[in-house]
Amino acid sequence: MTSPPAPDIHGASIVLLGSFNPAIFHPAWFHKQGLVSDEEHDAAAIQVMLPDFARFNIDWLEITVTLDRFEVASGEPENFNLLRDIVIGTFRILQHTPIKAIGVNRNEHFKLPEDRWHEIGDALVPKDVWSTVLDAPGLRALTVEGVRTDNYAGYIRANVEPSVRVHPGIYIGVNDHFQLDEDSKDSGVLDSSQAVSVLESEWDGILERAPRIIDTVLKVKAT
Amino acid sequence: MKLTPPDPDEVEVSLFGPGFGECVLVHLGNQEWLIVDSCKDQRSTRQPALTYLAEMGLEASAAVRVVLVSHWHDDHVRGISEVVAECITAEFWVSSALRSEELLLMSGLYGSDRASKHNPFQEFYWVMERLRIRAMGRQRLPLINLATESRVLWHRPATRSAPEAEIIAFSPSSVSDYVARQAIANLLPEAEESPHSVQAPQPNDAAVVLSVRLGDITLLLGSDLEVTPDPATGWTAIVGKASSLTKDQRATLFKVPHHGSQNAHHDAVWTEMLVESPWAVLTPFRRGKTPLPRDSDARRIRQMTNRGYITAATKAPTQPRRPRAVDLAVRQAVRKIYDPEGQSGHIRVRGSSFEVDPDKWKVELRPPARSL
Amino acid sequence: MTGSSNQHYQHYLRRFPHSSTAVGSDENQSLTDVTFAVGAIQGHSIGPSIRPSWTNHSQRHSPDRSTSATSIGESTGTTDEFLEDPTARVRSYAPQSLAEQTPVSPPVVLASWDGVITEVTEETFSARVTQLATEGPEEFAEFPLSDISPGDASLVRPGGLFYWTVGYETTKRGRIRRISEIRLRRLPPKSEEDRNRAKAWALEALQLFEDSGS
Repeated sequence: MTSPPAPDIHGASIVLLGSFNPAIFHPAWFHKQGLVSDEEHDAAAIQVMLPDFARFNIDWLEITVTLDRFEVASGEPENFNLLRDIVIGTFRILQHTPIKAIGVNRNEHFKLPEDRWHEIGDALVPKDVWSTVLDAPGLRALTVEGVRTDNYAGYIRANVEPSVRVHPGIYIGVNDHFQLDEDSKDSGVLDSSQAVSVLESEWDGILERAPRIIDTVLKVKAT
Repeated sequence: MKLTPPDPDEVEVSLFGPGFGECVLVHLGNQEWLIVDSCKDQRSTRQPALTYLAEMGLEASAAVRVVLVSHWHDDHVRGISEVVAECITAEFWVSSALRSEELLLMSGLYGSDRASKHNPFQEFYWVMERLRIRAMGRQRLPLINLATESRVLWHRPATRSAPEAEIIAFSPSSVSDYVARQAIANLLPEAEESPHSVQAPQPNDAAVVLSVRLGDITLLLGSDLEVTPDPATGWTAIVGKASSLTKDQRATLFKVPHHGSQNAHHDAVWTEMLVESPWAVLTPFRRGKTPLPRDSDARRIRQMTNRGYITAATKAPTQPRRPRAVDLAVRQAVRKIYDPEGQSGHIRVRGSSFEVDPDKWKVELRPPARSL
Repeated sequence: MTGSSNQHYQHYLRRFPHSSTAVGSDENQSLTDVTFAVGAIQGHSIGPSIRPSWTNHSQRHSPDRSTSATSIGESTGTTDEFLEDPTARVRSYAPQSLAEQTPVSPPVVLASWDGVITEVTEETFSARVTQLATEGPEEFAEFPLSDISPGDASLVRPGGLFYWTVGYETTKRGRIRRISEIRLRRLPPKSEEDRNRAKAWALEALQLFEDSGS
C-alpha cells in the first residue's frame, strides 16, 4: 500500500440536520462541559452570535449552528477523530435534541500536473458523447451517488470539480449521509441517540470510505 | 486436522486460545455440544469455536446445548455475546457470582458505549441485551442459570447411539460466591472514575470448575480457579470432597486452570481427581509482566503427564504487518508496540466415551498449538 | 441582526439546502477556509466566472464562457488570466504577500488508533491501542509522557482514552517531517438520566436470572 496522496487543502466536517438552539452554543459552553481544553478555549474566537445563527472557532475547530443545522469542521486532518468526539459529547449532553440526519464530509483539493488534470476530467466524463452536441465541452461538476450497504437509510455522494483553490487542480468532496428519521416514523421517537450511535459504531467505515473514494478518483485513467 | 464431526459416542474436547483468551468446546455425544467461555482470534477476528463448528458443517444454533461463562475475566468473555447470539437453543449458565446488581448496573451504564473499542463491560452488556430481547414475549424464564457447587447443569440419559452424559459444577462454593460478589461490588467506585480501566477482581474466587461425564469417561475443566488461603474456597474446597472419587470417576482429560500457574496448582487434583498421565491442555497468557505458563510451570506439568499441550507459545507472536510508511512512523513514535495475542491455536483430543485409558485417545493440533 | 451579520447569515443559508448534510454544494470551497469566509462577508462574488473548466484538450486556453463575470479586485476574473497567472485569484481573494499566502499542505494522516491508558509511570505511559478504519488487532504500546500536550496532562491516568495519529507533514521550506500526535479524549460523564436508565435496565436484566435461593 502506498501512502495516501497529500492534498493541498483539506477540510472535514460533521453536519447534523434537526432542531437546534444556536443561542446555547458558545465557546464557554463547550469549555464548561469539558469538551475542549483550557488552551483550546483560550484560542476561541466568535464570528457571529445571534439567537438563530452562531459561528465561532475554538482553536482548530469551527462550529456553525442555525435553527436546523449543526456543523463542526476543521482544516486539520489530524483532528478528524476529535470532530467525532465533539459531536458525541455535545449530543450525549443534549440527548433530547431531535436529529434527523447526519453527514460526515471530507473535502480536498489536489494540485495536479495539467495533463493529469485533463486526463482525470476526460476519464470521468468522456467527451466523445458531448462533442457531438457541444463545442469544447468541459466538466464543471460531477456528482455520483451510491446507496448505503449498512443498515442505515441515506447515501454516499462524491463530488468532483475543477478546483477553484489550486490550479490546475481537482476538488473531491465526499458526503457520507445517514438519514435517521426513517425508523422513527414508526416509533415516533427522534432524539440525538441515533446520531450518536452512528458516530460511535460506524466510525471505522466512515474513516475508511472517503479516502478510498478520493484515491480512486485520483488514480483514474482515461481509456 | 480432519474437519469431520465426531461419532455420536465419541468424546471430543477442543481448546482454543490465542495469547490471551480461551474457549473450550466439548462434544457431549449425539452431536450435542458444550461451550465454556469465549475468545477471539485476533488475526481473523472470528470466534474460533463457532468457526470450527461451521467448518464441520454443524449449525451452532441447533448443536450447542449449553453455554457457560465460568467467570468474568476479559480473556474468558471475548466474543461471548456472539456465541449467545448464535447458540439460540442453548441453555445459558454463568457463575452464581455474576448475578450481581453492581455488575449489572456498571454494564447498563457503560456497556453500550461504543465510542471506544476498549470497553470491559461491553460483552456482558450485549449478552444481557440479547437475552432480554429473547425474553420479550416468551413465557419461559429464567434465561440465565446459575452454576454453583454440586449443581447439575445438564443431563442426558443414554440413547441408542450415545451414552449418558452429565455436566456438574464443582464450584463456586457458597463462601467463594459471597467473596466474589463483594469484590465485584467494590469495583463500582472505580468504574465511576475510569470505566475503561476496570478489571475483574483477583484472585478468582468465582470461577466455575466443571466435571463432564460422558459414558465411562470424565473430563475436568479447571477454568481459572486458583488455590486460595481459605479452605472453603478455591481448589482446596473442591479437593476436600474429591477424596471419595473412585478410580473410575477420575478424569482422563484436564483443562489446566489459570494457564498452568503455580497458584492454581494443587497436588491433590492430580493425585485424587485425574487418571495417571492424563491429557492436560492449557492456554497461554501473554499479557502482564510475566507470561504464563512460566518455564517452571511447564516443567511441573510435564512431570505430571507426558500428554501436555498448549494452544500457543508464551512468547509474543509474529507481529502484524503494517504498510512500510506507517511502520516507520509508528516505530519512531513509541518505545514499544506489540500484539500479545495473535492467532488462536486449536488442540483437539478425541476418544471413545467407553475408553478411560488416555493412551487410546488421539490428539490433533492446529498451529500455533503445540506440545508443552 | 446587523447588516454584515445578516449578509453572512443569508450567504450561509443560500449555500446549504436544508436537506443536505454536504458542505459547499454550489462551489467547491471548504467551509473551513476562513479566508474564503472573510471574502464572502465582504461581498465578493464567488461565481463561476473565475472557475476554470476541464475543456477539450484542443481548446484548453479558450476564453471564459461564463455569463456572470464579476470584478474581484485586481483581476477581471477571466479564465485566461487565471490560467496564465494562478496567483491572480489568490491575490484577489486575500491580498497578502505571496509568501504568506503560499499554503503549507495539511499533514497527511497515515493511520490512527483508539487507545486506553493502562499504566502511567514517571516518564512513560502504557496503553492498549486498536487501529481505526481497519479490523486490526489490539496491541500494547508504550509512549513517552513528553508526547502529551500540557492541556491534556490532567487526563493522563489509567482508563484515560486517547487518539493516536501518525503521518507526515511538509514544512514551509518543503521538508517532509513525520508526525505522531496523541490527543486525550474528552467525553462527558454519565448524567443522572443515564444512571436512572441504567438502574431500570439492570432491574430488568436481573429478572433474567433464576433465583439462586442463596
